[in-house]
Amino acid sequence: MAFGVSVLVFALVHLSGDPVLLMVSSDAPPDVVDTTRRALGFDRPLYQQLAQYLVRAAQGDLGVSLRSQRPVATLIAERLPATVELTLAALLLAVVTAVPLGIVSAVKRGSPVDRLAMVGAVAGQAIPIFWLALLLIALFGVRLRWLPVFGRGSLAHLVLPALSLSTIILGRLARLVRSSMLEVLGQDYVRTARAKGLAEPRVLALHALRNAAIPIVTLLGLQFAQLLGGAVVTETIFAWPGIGRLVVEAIFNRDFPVVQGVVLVVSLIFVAVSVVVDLAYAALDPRLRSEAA
Amino acid sequence: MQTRRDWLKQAGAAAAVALAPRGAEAQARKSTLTIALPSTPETIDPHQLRSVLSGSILGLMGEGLLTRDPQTMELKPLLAESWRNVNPTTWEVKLRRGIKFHNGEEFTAESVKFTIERAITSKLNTLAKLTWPPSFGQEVQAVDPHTVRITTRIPDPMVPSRLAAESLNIAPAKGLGDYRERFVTDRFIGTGPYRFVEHVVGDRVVVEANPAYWGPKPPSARIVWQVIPDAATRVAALQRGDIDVMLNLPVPLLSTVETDPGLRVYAELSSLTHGVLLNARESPPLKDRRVRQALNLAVDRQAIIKNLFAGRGQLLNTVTGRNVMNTFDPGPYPYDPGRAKALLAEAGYGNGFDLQLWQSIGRWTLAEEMAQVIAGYWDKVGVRTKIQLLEWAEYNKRSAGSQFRDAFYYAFINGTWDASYTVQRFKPDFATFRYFDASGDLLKAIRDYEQTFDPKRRRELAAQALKGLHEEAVWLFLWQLELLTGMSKKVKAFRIRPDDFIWARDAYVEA
Repeated sequence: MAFGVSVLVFALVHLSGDPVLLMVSSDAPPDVVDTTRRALGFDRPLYQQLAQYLVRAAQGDLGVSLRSQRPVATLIAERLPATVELTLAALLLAVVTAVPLGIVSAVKRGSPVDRLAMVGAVAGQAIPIFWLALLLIALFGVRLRWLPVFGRGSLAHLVLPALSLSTIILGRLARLVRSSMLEVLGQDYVRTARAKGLAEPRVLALHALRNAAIPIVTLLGLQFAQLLGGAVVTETIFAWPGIGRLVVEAIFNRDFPVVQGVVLVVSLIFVAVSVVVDLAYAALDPRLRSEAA
Repeated sequence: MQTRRDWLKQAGAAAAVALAPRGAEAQARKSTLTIALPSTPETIDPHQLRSVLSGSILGLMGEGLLTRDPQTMELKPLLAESWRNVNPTTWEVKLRRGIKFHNGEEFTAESVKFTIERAITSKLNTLAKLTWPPSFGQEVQAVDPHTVRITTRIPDPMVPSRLAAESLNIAPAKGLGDYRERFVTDRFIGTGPYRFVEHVVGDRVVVEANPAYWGPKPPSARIVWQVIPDAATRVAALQRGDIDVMLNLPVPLLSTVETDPGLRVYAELSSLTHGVLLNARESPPLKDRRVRQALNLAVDRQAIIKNLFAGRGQLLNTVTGRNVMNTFDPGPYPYDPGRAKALLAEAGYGNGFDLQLWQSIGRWTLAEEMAQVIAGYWDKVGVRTKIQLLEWAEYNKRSAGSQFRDAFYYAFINGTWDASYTVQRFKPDFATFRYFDASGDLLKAIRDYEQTFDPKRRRELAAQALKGLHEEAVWLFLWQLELLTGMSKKVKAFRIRPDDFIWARDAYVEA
């Protein structure tokens, strides 16, 4: 998969324009443009450039940024932890809020609590993240002065970006938890558990939620991988030095090696997360384990 | 009798006095000045810089032979003691003595030779090659450790201006000896008032005061250039006091800064000259001077500045802006749609014609809106204008490659702070941006101006060329806009030079 993604990204970035013309100034005489093109190897046939890139990438060498002249692997290593931190924090916030919300909505189906929670969930999905982020900055940063509004450092720096990013997941997750729980709550084994006289919280946590968990884990896995490459808006507004901003700046600057490097790394993480999700299925559902055996 | 304890107390007090910052002034300052900027500086290599922003940051750590006054733009010696023109192709520069780079290396004629060779004759893709093309055939000779001779193959009256450019930061020959043909990414070795601390790509550049600086003591202990891409977040950070200065304050956020009692807006006219370039070489209607003049008369620029940019700009009436050396203002084309229609009819376009107006997305503030307003004005006099939008990389390629066949928006910097930088573009043998070829007296004035040394004669020739280009209406001349900066009222001595260079070396924050 990573190989396919690399080839695709290579083709796309090369289709999108000439990086040399962005590197040299618009005033540059043609000979300067040609010299730069030769020096960077962009004068060679595309298949040669691709072959060289793939061989080097397989050895862990992702090339050097055209703009900053620093190794792409170093740039990614500097920025990836910030994005992972933000994504995990956002996921955690979303899970902590959405799971109880979804369960309550399912258990109290049709009640005002359910309606309110679901309106909140839909709103969370619908509110543009940049708007919410600016609102949070104005309230908690400027008016109340409780939290810093940019950069990475302390736990306080993480709160606002994680909060705004979590709203994307929160709504979707709460609705999924609710529908999965509704499905499970109607099953015979839940009725049996209740008939055995088990306390309701125990029924919900051990019998219902565990069985409803598979689609939830799938969604979380997908969201995690998506957010790694897609938290651009949040990272930009909060000046969070993550990989999303790195790749967007690289796209604008036609910094091919950086774009290719980031996409490759993110796709590898995507693969890794999918494997972890598959393993989680087996842990959650013994039937899958026995089928596999 | 003085006890041992008394003696120790006195010694301690004396040491405390010696270690404390000198004077009440130093005690009343914040140690760090934080400047928020919208985008990542592309480099910390002394010669790889591409933007004014990077130039401004590097200009705290590095120095050229000459510099410019932050207010008047007058040339001033910096690492040079003096300079003189020996003959039309030779310049001699005497260097200051006793100056050391941050790595302890002495600044000598060898440093100058190394710098000019690295920035201009190496294989590196440097900005200096554009502000001083290698076709001038520059050669540097170290006459003695403190004198250099610079020769050019063709007479070049602009040498002092070129030596003052940030693209020629003097670098140490030994310290960067291994980097003659490659860029530096992890350090900066200069002679400037501030030393390099760190560059976290995409996040910040930090510099600290150089205690061994040869000139006046740097006023701030540390300067942090913090990347905050979003303007609203920059304003919020400024209101909170997390940063002291925010660059690129957009017009819609002006009032937020203006109404905050602790903040102020600092405005300086940008050197960027905005215009719509008209292809007088290929477009049949635009070949006619009367049509180009009509397009100028048809647009109410003052109204656009007032309504789109809150009045924060000034009219541009030729191809060079205010303050630039040897510039000349021939006066505006008034807003006169009646006269515009008459000129079009005279040129045989009484029924108007179709025109494409190209604009780039994401390059200039309110770019699309500007194009729409201009197209609206042109439509009113019968020029049926169709707006075409294009992404910047492709747009820039087409603009410089002279590929737009009709009209397109552009804004030019002035790399040498002399009118010749823009005027030379109208010579028929100029490599890029060829949309109008000067001829006859106009071309002669441009060519003579480029090679004339006498300052008075240069002014006259420049005025003649700029007046000619105005009459030819080579562009729809538009405007220069103000660069808006938000800052805490406690920030002192922060300036933006008329060429947009951020002059932070004198700046500090009161505690």
